[in-house]
Amino acid sequence: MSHLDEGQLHALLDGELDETEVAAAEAHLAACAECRRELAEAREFAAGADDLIEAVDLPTATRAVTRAPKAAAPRFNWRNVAWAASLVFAVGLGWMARADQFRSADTGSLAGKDAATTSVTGGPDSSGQESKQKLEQNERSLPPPAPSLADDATEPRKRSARQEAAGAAPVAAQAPIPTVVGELAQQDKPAPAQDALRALTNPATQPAEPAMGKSADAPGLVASKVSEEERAKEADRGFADAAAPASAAVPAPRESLLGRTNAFAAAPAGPAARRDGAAGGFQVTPMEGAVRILGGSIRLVDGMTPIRVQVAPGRMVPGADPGLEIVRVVYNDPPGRELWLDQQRPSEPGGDAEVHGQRATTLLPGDTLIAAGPAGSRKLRWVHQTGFRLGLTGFLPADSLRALARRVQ
Amino acid sequence: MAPSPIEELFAQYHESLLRMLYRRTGDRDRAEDIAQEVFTRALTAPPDNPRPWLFAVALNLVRDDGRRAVRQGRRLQLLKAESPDRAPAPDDELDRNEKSARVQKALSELRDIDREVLLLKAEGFDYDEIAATTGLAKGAIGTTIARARRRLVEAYRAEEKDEHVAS
Repeated sequence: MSHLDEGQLHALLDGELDETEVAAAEAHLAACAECRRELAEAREFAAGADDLIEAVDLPTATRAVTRAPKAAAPRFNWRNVAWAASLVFAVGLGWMARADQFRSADTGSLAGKDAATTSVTGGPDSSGQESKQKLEQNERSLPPPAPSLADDATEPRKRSARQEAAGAAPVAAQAPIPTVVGELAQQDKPAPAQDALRALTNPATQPAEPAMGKSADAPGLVASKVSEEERAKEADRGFADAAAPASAAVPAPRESLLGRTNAFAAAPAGPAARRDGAAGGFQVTPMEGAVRILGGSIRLVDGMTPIRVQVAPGRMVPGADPGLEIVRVVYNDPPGRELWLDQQRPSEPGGDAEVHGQRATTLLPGDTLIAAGPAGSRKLRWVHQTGFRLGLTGFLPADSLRALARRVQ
Repeated sequence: MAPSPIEELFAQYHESLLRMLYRRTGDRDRAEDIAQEVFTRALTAPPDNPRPWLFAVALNLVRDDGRRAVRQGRRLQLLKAESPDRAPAPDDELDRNEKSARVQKALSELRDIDREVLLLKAEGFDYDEIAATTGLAKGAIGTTIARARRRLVEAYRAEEKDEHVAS
């Protein structure tokens, strides 16, 4: 095979080559040092360009928020009056329920504690669906949201635009509030209409994909080639990622070079994948509990909505500090596959605690490590300047994981 | 009450379209005007394949608007600073604004097609969608993206170098 040109290398990095082309390219790369150098350079340019473009974000609006153009001039319509009355009634009901809740519990965080108890007793054999329902129930049981740890400067603007677009009254934004979970309940909830439109524009798409928001449409996402059975096996083995090079976990030569660009296109996460949350030793926990474990703050992927939060002893995850609990925030990517954001607070002074002979991998702030994850997934690990250990695992090419990692805040 | 199709389109694509337009023009007001025009057109002629359609119309409007501006002898302010001089910004905000301005300048040095392909990719378009939006052959997208990424990074580095020399 002749040398790979620049376009092929970038298409490979972007996950745009088909399986045959990937195999041919990787076979060539295995034997050609020059092309490997070119590939490293292409990767550098791709990451550099992504970084630069991300640096240009919309400034604060300088005038009234734009509204969707209306199909017709507004007319007086009894249906609208009924709709408005329903809304007022719903808000009133919510307000009364909230007042009632404050009477029955001293603080909003107490409600969170109740929720925590409920969800943890759901136990390791709870299905992912049940866990998700419980998480949603917990969210509903808490007071309305307020600016929180999870908030960022751009989020209110995004929410406001969405609410404007949907023509909905920003009811939640008016209420004061105390919890992180409540905030998350409001973040980037995909409107049913968005799902409908996505299905309309791409009939092959899985239903009920969550929107990822800004640049969500993570590059390189394609349809899955990994079977449910494979995922189930991997899930049963627990979180089988390793600090060892990808080649150690997945011996195929092309994976050792780049990762199976097209094989990241995995099946939508089904029950097997969800089972991992419990089978791997992870327990669903309310966001408040996770924040407490992490010492008062939690890292989230900007623009994505967590589907649940789990916690496990650090020893359950190779490479993590075995002496500290590890928190996993679980998301769905657009094709419905799970994406995990693992995090641990900084190790105690004198760190690198050893438990049962297991020792945390030594990473320094700024270091990143790419390793193979379960079922052909890939894991990016890094240490934040604050000392937090972070890991992002998903069925995505390394570059997409890096792009997502830049959105972790 | 179910939202109308145009409201669905707006909810799903407006933010992404506006961001792309801002990156393309460097002017939020202009980006908002063009986005509004795009959705108005979508209202009169609902597209079958909305995302490429919306972005293609938006990019055509940017080009048309640019040509008209040149005819009128009005210089396009591609690097319009949005906020630094309106209120004192914290240091990190100032750094972000400076970086953003440098990137805008580097972007403005690219060929139209290179810039557009990069901006579409940044909004999560795959090569098929980029081809559908720009009219390029799918087989040419990889090469175009490769060239655009390299040129953007090099132009930005040159900007940084020039500023260091000047300061």
